[in-house]
Amino acid sequence: MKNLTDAGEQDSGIRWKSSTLRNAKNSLAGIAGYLALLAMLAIMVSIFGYIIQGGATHITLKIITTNGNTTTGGILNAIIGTWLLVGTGLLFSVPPGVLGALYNVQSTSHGGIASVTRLFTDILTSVPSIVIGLFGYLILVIRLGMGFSLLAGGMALGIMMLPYVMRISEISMRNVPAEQVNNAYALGADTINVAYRIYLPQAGAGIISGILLAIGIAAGETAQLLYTAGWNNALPSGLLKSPVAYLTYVVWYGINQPSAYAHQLAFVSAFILIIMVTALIFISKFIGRKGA
Amino acid sequence: MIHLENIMETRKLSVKAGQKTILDNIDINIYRHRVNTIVGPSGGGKSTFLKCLNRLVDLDSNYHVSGDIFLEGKNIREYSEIELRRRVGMVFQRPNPFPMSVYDNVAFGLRLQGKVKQHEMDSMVKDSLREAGLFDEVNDNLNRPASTLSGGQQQRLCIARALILKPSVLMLDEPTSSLDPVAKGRIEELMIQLRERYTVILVTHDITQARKVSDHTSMLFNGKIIASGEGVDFLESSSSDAMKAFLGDATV
Repeated sequence: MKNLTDAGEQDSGIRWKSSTLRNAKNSLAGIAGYLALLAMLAIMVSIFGYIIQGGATHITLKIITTNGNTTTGGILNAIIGTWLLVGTGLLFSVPPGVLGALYNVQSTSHGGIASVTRLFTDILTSVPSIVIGLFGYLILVIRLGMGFSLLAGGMALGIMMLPYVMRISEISMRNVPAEQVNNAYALGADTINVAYRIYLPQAGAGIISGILLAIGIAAGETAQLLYTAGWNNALPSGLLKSPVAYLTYVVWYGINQPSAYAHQLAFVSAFILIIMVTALIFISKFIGRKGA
Repeated sequence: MIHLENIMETRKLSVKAGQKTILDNIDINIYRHRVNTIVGPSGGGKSTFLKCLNRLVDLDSNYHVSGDIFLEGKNIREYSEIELRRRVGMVFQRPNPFPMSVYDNVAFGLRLQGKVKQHEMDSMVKDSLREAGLFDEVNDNLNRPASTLSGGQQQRLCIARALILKPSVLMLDEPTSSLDPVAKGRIEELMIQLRERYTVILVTHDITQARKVSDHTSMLFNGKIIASGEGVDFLESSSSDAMKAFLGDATV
C-alpha cells in the first residue's frame, strides 16, 4: 500500500514538473511571438512612416498631372506607364493562368501535364525578377526586335504574374465542392460548361483576389522592367520600340541623383506605389473574404 | 407472373483502380419501371457501379473500366457522354444544390441543352418540382437561394433537377443517408411514386429502406454480386456468411 502511495506521489510529482515545464515553454513561445510581432510592426510602421512623411508632404497636383524625366517635371507618365505595363502584363498572365488552373483542377491523373505545370509554376514563382528581366532583354527586346517597349515590359511582367494568378486560381477552384462538379457532369454538362457555370462563378472571388495580388506585386517590380521597358519622358507612342516610364524607375533613379527635387519625386512615387499596393491587397482580401 | 423488361444491363462489368479490383464481372439487369436496389456494405463498390452506368467514372483516369453496359439495347459507348447522362440521371448521397436560386437549380440541366423558351422552361421547372413533391413548399418564392431549404427539401430539389431532363433511368446514391427520419420517409414515398414514370436504381446500405421500396434487389459485396432477386426477403434465406454478416449489422 505504501509503495502504491509512493508511486502515486512520484507520479503526481512528475506530472507537476512536466506541466510546469510545458507552461514555461508556452509562456516563452508566447513572448517570442509577441516580440516577433512587435519587430514586424516596428519595421512596417517605420517604412510606411518614412515613405508617407517623405511622399505625402511633397505631393502636389502639378507632380501627378505632368510628365517628367525623374529629375524635373512630374510623374504622370510614370503613373500611367505603370498601369499600362501592369495591364499588358495581365493580358499575358490572366488568360493562361486561369485556363491553366482550370486544366490542372480538372485533370484527375496524378502524373502528366498537370503535375509538370504545377512544378514549373512553383519554380517560376521563385525565379528572381532580374533573371526574368535578362530573359526579356535577350529574347523579347533583342531577338524578337521589340526594343524597350510596352509589349516587352508587359510580357516580362506577365511572366512574373502568371504563377501567382495560376496558383491562387487553382487553390480557389479546388475549394469548389467536388460533389457540385460531379452533379454538373451528371446533368449533362461538358468540361467547358463545368468551367463556365461551376468553377468560375464559385472561384471568381478567389481568382480576382489572386489577380489583384499579382498586380500589386507587378506594380512594385523594377528589375525586369529596367531590361525591357526602358524609360520615356512622355507616354509611349505604341506597343513596340517605344519605351515606357514607370514609378519604380523614378524611385530607383531619382534617389541616386544629387537633386532635392529628384528625391522629392522619388518619395512621391514610392508613396503612390505604397498606396496602390496596399489598396490592392485590401481589395483582394475583401473580395476573397466575401467569396469565402 | 410479372413481365420484366430490361432497360439497362451490364455484362462482365469490371472496374480497377490501379491493382485494386472495385467491381468484378458484374452481370446485372435493371428492370423498367421498377425500383432496382443495390444493397451492400460501405466500400463494396455500389457508388462506383452507378458511376459506370452514366460514365461519370470516366472522369477519373485512375479507373479502368471493362465489360459492356447497355441502355435500351444499345451499348452506352454509342451514346455521347452528355446524351447518356441526360438519359440516366443521378442524385448523390449528400444534397448539394448549386449556390443559386431554387429555379436556377432546377433549370440548370435544361439550360445546358441550349435555347428553351422562357414559358416552356417555367412550366418544366414547375412540373419537375411537382414530381419531386416540392412545388407546394417552394412555390411562393422560386427565386430564394436553394441553400435556405432544409436538407430534405434540398435533396428533393436535386431530384427535381435530375427529373427536368426526363431521364429514362434515375439513379439515387444513398439519397437519404444524411437526412432525418421524416425527410427520409418522404424520399422513400417519392421513390415508389417515381417508378410509375421512371426506372429507379437505388443504392443503399439500409436494408430497412430496401424492404420498403425495393422491387428487385441485388447484393453487392466486395465488388461482386452475390445474390439477386425479386423483393428483399430472399436475401434472408441466403446461406452466405457475407450476407448474414451484412444483414446482422444492418438490423442492429
